[in-house]
Amino acid sequence: MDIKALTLYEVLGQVKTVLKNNAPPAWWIVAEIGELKVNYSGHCYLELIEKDDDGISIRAKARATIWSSVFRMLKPYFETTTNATLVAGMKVMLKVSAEFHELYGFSLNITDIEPSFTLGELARQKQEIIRRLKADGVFEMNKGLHLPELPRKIAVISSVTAAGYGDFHDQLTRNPFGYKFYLRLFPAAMQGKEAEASIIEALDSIYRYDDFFDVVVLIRGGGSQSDLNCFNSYWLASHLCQFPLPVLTGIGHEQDETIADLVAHTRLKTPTAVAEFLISRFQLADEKINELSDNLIDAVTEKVSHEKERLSRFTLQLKPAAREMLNDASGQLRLMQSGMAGSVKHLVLRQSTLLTSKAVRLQTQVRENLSQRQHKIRLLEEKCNYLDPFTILKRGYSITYYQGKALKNSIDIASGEPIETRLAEGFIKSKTI
Amino acid sequence: MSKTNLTYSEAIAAIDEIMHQIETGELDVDELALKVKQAGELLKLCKTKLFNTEKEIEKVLKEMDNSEA
Repeated sequence: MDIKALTLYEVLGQVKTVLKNNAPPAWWIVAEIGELKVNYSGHCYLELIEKDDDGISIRAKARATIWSSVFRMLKPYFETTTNATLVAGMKVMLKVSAEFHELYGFSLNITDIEPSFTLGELARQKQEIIRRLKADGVFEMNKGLHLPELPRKIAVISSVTAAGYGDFHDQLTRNPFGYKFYLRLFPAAMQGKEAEASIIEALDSIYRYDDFFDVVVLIRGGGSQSDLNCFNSYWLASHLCQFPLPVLTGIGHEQDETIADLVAHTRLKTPTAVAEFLISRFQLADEKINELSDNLIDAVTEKVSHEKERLSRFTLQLKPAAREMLNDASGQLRLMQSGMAGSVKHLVLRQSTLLTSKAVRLQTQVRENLSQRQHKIRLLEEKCNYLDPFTILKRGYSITYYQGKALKNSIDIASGEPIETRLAEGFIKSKTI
Repeated sequence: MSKTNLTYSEAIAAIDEIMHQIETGELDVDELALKVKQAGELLKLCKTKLFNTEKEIEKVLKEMDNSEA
């Protein structure tokens, strides 16, 4: 067999030269960071990928390296512009040149980066997440919660290491006014890939005491400007939105707001700002109490003075009123008196006239009565005389008695009976025949 | 209703109510004395909530430590 075979090294060498001669010195490419590692010597090794339209399967992949000399400048440049660190999952625009090495194969050498592209990507991602949260109808939920007037019991999510929590704790517990705060730290990673999961975990453990705590505070030590991106995660934001307690954020960052800031009940710039906010709530409450007690005192003193004034008005009015009443009364009395005197006189007069008239009438009446009586008597006398049997006898009549009784009917008497007949003058004794 | 378990906002609401009653003159002088006393107590309660340590709260925080540990 007379095939002329080249060695692997030769072939790869040829590929290398073809590439060097034909490939342009460099390209600006857009890719997604699949993996990223920085080794001890400061070189940065990445795996760049490009996903299919479905966003899941990968249709292109290449290794890439940023030599430490470049990376030393590229990293801070990127981070200060985007406030984020290069992490897997991030879309970036890179200036690369193709490298082919017989041993290490094909790789891209990254010599520059365009942060604004990533910024745009990040912003686009943020808008997308916000849209999703709004579509879920949860975006405003935490904001809608009522922040207690007295946020005394505070659940703090912060990293144990960073100074943030310590300062925050001291600022509250040693506040100049002596207000009493109760803090409890629920530690979580506040940076990098693990941040999302560990903050959510902290939220879950706070959730068990949601009827105890008044408010949740999410704070990160000052200074660590980089990598706010972990606070733009949909899952974290969704948890924050639906958390039953109001969330205050103090992630220690000046410029753009993370999604956590947007959905939180109240967004503050730094942990100290959060502490000041809480203290000011107490001051408000304190002032309100003082105001209330002042109002109470005013209202009561006003009411009491009002009553006193009314009382004094009464007493003032009382005297004249009483006097007036007395005058009226005595006036009436006098009136009545004179009236009385008059009426008494009148009455007496009337009575006396009445009496005299009565007396007169009485006399006349008596006289009349007497004369009537005399008249009556005379009549009776006359009648008596007239009816006196003797006068009748005088007119020739006689009364016949039988056994002492006057005889009226002849049949009452048999013959031969003795009868006695009385005449005007004397008797006649006789017998019936 | 016993005073101690009132929450801060409930106490404030109660004080407002008494204030309202006084201002609208619903209270006669006798009731006034009673209501003022109540309001005073409520105000004291609010003050304590601002400044004093409450044992129950400390207790719950301790329980959390135990369950966490």
